[in-house]
Amino acid sequence: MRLVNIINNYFSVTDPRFSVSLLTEIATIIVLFLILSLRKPRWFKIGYFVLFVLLLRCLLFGNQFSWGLYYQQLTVDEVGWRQQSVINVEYYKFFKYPGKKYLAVGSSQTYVMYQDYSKKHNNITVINLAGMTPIDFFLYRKYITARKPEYVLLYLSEFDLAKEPSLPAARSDPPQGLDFLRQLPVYWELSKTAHKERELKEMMVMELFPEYKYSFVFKGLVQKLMKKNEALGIQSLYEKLHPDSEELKKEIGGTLEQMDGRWIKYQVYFLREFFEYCRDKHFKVVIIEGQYNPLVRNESTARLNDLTRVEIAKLLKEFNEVGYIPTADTMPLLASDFDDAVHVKKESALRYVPTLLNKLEAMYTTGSEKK
Amino acid sequence: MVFNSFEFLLFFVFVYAAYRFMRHRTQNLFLLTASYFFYGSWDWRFLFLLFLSTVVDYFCAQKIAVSTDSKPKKAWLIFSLCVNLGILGFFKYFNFFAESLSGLFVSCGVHIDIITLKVILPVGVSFYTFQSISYIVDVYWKKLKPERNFLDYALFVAFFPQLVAGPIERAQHMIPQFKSPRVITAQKNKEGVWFVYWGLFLKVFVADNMARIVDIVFKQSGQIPGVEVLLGSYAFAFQIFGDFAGYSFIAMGVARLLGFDLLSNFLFPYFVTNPRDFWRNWHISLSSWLKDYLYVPLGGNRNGELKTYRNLMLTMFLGGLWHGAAVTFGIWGIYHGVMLCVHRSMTAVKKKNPIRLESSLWKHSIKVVLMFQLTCLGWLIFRADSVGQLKDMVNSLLFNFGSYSQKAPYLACQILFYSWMLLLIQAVQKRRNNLFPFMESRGLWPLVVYVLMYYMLLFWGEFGGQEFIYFQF
Repeated sequence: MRLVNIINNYFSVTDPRFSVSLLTEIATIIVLFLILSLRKPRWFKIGYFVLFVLLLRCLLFGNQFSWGLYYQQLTVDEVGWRQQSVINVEYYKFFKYPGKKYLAVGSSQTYVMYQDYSKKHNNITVINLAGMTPIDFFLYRKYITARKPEYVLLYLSEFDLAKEPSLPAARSDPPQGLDFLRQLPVYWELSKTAHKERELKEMMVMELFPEYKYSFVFKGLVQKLMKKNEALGIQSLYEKLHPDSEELKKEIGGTLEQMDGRWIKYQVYFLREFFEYCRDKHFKVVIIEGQYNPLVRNESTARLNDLTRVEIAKLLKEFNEVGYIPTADTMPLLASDFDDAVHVKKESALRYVPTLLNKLEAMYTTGSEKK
Repeated sequence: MVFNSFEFLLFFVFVYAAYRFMRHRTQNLFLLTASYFFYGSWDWRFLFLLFLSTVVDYFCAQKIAVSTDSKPKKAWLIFSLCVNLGILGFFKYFNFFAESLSGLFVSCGVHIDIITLKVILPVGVSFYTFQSISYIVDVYWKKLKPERNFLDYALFVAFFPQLVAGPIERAQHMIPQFKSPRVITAQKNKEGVWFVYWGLFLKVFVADNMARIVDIVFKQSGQIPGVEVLLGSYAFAFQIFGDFAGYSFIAMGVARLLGFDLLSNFLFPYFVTNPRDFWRNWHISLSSWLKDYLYVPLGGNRNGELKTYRNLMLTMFLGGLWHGAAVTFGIWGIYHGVMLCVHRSMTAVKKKNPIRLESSLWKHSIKVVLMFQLTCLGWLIFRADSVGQLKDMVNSLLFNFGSYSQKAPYLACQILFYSWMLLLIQAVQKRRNNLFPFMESRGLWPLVVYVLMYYMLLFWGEFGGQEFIYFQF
C-alpha cells in the first residue's frame, strides 16, 4: 500500500515528461548494452564504459529522487550559496507547474522580495540563484520558460548590470550543448576582460563532462559526512552572513565597489539573447527597475544608473514586447526598508509586491505596455 | 603547460593527430619542434640552456669517440661535465650556497656582502642534465657509440613526455627507438591510454586532494598534536607518490601513444618490506642513475663493508641534495643512507646466522606497515619547510602524541577516502606483478573500476592545473 502511495504522490507532483524521458534513456542504454553484448565489436569495452557512465549519469542527475536527496542533505555550509541555489533549481525543475501568472527571476534580491508573497498568493512563483545576473537568465532560459508563466519578471538595476558576469558561477549553470559554441566568442572576450581564462576552460571541459559541473554536490556530501566544518572550526555561513553581520556588509560593500560600467555591454548582450529566446517562445518579459539601499548610492552608482537606463531604453526599442516599470511607478523603497545594502525587509517586500502587481495588471489590461 | 591542463590536452591532440600522418624522419623533426615548443611554453629563454647542453654534449661525445689518447678524452669529458654541472649548480644551488656562506660568516661575527641573484630554476634542468651526463659518461666508458645524427640526439635530450620530470632516460634505451620506424599497435594504444588515465587519477584525485590535507598540517606552527603530524606525513606520502608517479605514468602513456617505451619510474613503493626494495620501486630512473654513475664509480660494495657504507651514505646524501638546495633534503638523503646501511648490516647478520622463520601474509603485512612508517618519517623530513619545523614536528610525534585533536578524525577520513582506490589498484598490480592489471581481466569488475575512477576524477578531482612537485627539482 505504501509503495502505491509513494507512486501516486510521485506522479501527482512530478512532471511526467521527466519520468518518460528517464525511462526512455534507461531503456535505450539497456538495449544498446544488449546489442553490444550480442555483437561484441572490437571496441565493445569502450562501448560498455560509455553506457555505464551514461547510466550513472541518469541515476545521479536525471531524476528527482537524486536531486531531492542532495536538496535535503546539503546546506550552504557544505556547498556555498550559489551551489545550494543550483541544487534548489535543479530539484524543482522536475515538478509539475500549472503555469502561474508571474515568474520572478533573479538573485537573492528577487528572492527576498517575492518569496513571502508567493507563499501566500497563488499567482506568482520565483526562480532564484545567488548572484544571478543576465548571463544566468540566458543560461537558465529553458528552465525559466519550462515554468510556463504568462510574465517573466526581472528585477534589474545597475547593481545587476554593472556587475561582472560571473564565469566561475556560470560553471554550475546547465550545459549548453551547441549553444555554447555559438556564444564562445563572447565568453572568450569576457574571460580575457575578467581574467577568468581558467574558468572558461573549465566551462569547455564541463560541456563535455557535465558530471564535473555538479562535482560540488559530491564534494559537499563527503565534507558533510566527514564533518569538515566542525573539525576545522569553520563558522556557519548563516551565522557569518546574518543581516547585521560585518561580514555581509563587507561582502556587499565589496560587490558595490566592483560595479563597473565595462560589464554592462556583456550583461546587455546576454539580456538580449534571453529576450530573443523568450520572443521565439512567446513569453512576455517585464523589467522592473530594481532598488537598493539609498544609503549606498553615490556619484558612481548614479552614473552607472544613467548608463543602465540608456542601455535598457535601447533594448526596449529593439524588443517591443518587453515591458518596463521604472522605480517612479512602483513603491519607492527607503533606507528603513532594507536589511542591508541590497536586501529588502520582509514586511517592506509584502507591501511592495502587491503595488507592483497592481501596476502590472493595470498595464496589461489597459494595453499601455510601454512606458 | 602541465600534463593536467587544458592546454596540454589541445597540444597533445594536435601533435598526435599530425604525427600519425607523418613519415618516420619527419616524425622525429616534428617531435623535436613540439618538444621545444612544449619546453618554451614555460619560459622561452631556457630553450637556449637546453640547446646549449645538447650542442655541448653532442660535440664532446664526438670528440671523445675520435680521441685515441686518454688525456684529450678525459679533457672533453671534464669539459662536458663542467658545463652540465655548472648549469645545474648555478641555477639550483648558487643562492643556497651564497646565503649559507653569508649566514656562516654572520654567525662568526663577520658581516660580508655576498651577491645573491634572483635566479629562477629552469624547469626540468635536473632531469635533462642527468640524462645528458649519463650519455657522455657512457660514451667515455665505451658503453655507447656517440650518436651521429644531431636531430636524434637533440630529441633524446628534449623528448617532451619525459623532459621536465623524467623518467631520466638512457641513450641506449631511447636513441634506437628514435632511429627505428614507429610501430603503434592497438595493444600499445590501450596501454598508453591506461597509463594516462591512471596517472591523471593519481595526480588529480590523489595528489592534489592530499595536498590540501598536507597544507592543513604543515601550515601550523609550534607544538601540534602528534597524531596530526603522523597523519600529515601519511598524506604527504600519498601526495608525493600520486604527484610524481602520476607524472611518470602520464609521460609513459603519452610516449607509448606516440610509439615509444619509457623506463618504468615507479612500481609499488609502499608495498615493500625494506629500504633497498623501496629504492627499487621509487624513482627507479634516479636511483639506478645514482647507482650506475655515483655509487659504482665510488667503489660500490667492492672495497669492504666500511667503504660500502661510506659509498651508500655519500650516494644517498647527494641524491637528497639533487632534489634541491635545502638542509632538509640533505637530512632526508642521510636518513635513507642510514636505513640502507642498517638494512645491509642486518641482512649480513642474518646471512651469518640464518634463522628460518615461516613467512606468512600477516608477517609480510606487518613488515610492509613498519616500512611504510619509516618511509613516512622520511617524508616528514622531506616536506618540512625548515629544520625548525622538523624539530617541532618530531617533538610533537614523540612527546605530544596523545593530546586531543579535533582535526584528526577528519584528516584520517580524508586520507582514507583519497587513498583507498590507489591502494587497491596498487595491491592488484603488485599481486599480478603487472602495471596493466585489468587489461586481460574478464567480467564486469574492471569496468566497474574504470567507471568508478572516472566519477572519482570528475567529482573530487582538482582540475586547477596544479603544478607537479618534482618540477621544482
